[in-house]
Amino acid sequence: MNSEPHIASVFDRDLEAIQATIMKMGGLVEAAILSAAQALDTRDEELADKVRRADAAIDALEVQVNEECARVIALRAPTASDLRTVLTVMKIAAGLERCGDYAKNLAKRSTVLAQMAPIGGSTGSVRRMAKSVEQLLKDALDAYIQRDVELAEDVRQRDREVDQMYNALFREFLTHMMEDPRNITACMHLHFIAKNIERVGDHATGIAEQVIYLVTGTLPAEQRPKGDTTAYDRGVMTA
Amino acid sequence: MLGPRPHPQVEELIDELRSSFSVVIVTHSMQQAARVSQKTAFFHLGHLVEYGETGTIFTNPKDPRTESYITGRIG
Repeated sequence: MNSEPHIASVFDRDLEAIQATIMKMGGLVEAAILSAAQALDTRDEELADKVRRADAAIDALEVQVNEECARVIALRAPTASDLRTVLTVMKIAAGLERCGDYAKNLAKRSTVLAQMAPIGGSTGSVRRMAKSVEQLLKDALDAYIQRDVELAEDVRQRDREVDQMYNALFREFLTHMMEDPRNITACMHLHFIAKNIERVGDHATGIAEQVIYLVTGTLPAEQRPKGDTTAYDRGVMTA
Repeated sequence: MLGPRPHPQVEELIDELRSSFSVVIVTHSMQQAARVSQKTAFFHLGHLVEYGETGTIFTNPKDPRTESYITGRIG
């Protein structure tokens, strides 16, 4: 990657402004995920409501990133690494916006779950999974800022751990539902929450792949390792 | 050598001629080079630095001097 400044320094300022907006967005999304998981675990409806309302700021930042990118494309005609920076930023913004939506959905479901009987220690497990995913997202964004391909590759590999956490929760919820049908509603909500957190992990991996593209000019050819086997695991469904 | 102002008619003519002729243009306008060519060569101080498909040169050049020039870091 070329770290020299442009002859037209205003171009550097434009790119720095866009990247600052992305980092602000990333910070809000990380906080939303952690707060939503905390609201679920502690049955804090006020905190859940705060997460729901905060999503509008994340959406507004995505719009801002897209507008800034459109302006840079129109006025500066970026090429090579500058072009990849702009394309990458737009994809990361879209991914982060989706992660914000997942956090909002988690918060919504947590207010419903707060009215129901707790399902074992599952909300604690979900919170631990959310913490792992938040760290994954943080590392993906750090890899972006530092243009660190090694860290980005590490994020790709670690997504498998999140998938395995999801698999374990999937089995746990299934067991609770089979034990007592009155658990079904709560377990279905918890399952959607776990799936959404797992999807945030996928978006973190997507950001890591964009970092690799940004630095090297090519997307990683090798398929990333996947640990979510629930779609194929007939043994679980028929147990 | 084409001047600094855009010449849509000239560029259109190059496009028509290229089915029968090889056309070489020498330009400092990166936009123009990207628009009209299929292959691009970057020369610096009289030396050939890099040659390749125009799409590759403008999106993922291999030589850092090409990268610096087309992104406006050296003039």
